[in-house]
Amino acid sequence: MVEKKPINEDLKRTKEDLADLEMYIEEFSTFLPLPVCTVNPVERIIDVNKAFEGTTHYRSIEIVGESLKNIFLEKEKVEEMLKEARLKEEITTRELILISKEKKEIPVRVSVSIRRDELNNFIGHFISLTDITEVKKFQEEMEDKIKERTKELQERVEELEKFKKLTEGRELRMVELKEEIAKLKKELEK
Amino acid sequence: MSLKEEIEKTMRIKGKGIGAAVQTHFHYIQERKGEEGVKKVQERLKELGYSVDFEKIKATERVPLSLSYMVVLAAREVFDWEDKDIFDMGNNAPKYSFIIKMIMKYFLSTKKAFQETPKYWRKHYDVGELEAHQFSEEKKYMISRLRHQCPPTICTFYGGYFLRIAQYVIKSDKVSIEETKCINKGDPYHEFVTKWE
Repeated sequence: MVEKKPINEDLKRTKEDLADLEMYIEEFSTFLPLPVCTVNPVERIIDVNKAFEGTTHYRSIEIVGESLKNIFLEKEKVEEMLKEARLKEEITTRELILISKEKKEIPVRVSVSIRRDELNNFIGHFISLTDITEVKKFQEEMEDKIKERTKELQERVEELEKFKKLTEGRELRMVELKEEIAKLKKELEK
Repeated sequence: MSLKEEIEKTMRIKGKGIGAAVQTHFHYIQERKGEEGVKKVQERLKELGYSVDFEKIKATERVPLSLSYMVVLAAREVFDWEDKDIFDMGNNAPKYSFIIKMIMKYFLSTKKAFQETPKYWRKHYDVGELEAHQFSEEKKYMISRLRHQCPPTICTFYGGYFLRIAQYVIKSDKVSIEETKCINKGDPYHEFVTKWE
């Protein structure tokens, strides 16, 4: 009976700490601008942050419990990536296509890390997404510009080659004409 | 049976559960019916003499189990919900719970998760007993038995709830659950059979 009070106090404090921890995680998760989700060992989404909701347009209630691969176009690549992260025990990154709630295809860079408990049991993954739509758009614009400039340069090269051939032909003809003139001059002198 | 009678009967259920359960009911109502919906349920309960301010309830606090059940019963009446809505409410409940996210780490495999469910029940409630009765990975089914007196509406809620726990740990998109025995129908326990493809 003497021990009961301190135990109850400890329990009360632990519960308060847990509530504080929950609040801290929720605040941090809401603040974090990077879309992040947690998946369990069978690759089901168990938690998402606000930024994840913003990128995928799924509300937490709609997406928690779903299989992670269902929100990507390349489903096999998702499984491969998770497997690779587990085998290599390091952060794995891939570029994949995310399918938003409205079925819009969004290019994203996906990073995966593994989660382990204090006994080193594998307990799932952390997944982060980076929307690379603008990067891809810029990259495509640059590639288009490079293609355009390359085409222009090729056209100039072709023009120059034509000019070169033309001038080379003229030079040869001039040499021939000079030789003919010299020959005629010699004949006249005779 | 009127809501008043049903709640009075529910009030006789002994035992406590974690406050997170009550919070998740209100979060679900908020999600489907907005703040107005939450107010409607609170007002209906107030009319019957029960004041429930879910924002003041702490997730880890132990609250009477009847409090959690009366919120579900009131929501059913206020929104004229059918069994499928109550099932959906139960199915979505684990999604809101921080405590469930914390203990998900113990669910390392389907079998392990199934074996852990009695402890999981005990973490949430100090009454009733959940038995992990049978599991077959090969035949793809598991049977849980719940020895706990609860209103029929809550059986439907638990059906949805247990299905979600199964959906969390089974790598299949085709998971189903059926209550094959029920205390409210004279059986000695509630029996839930979960199957998957």
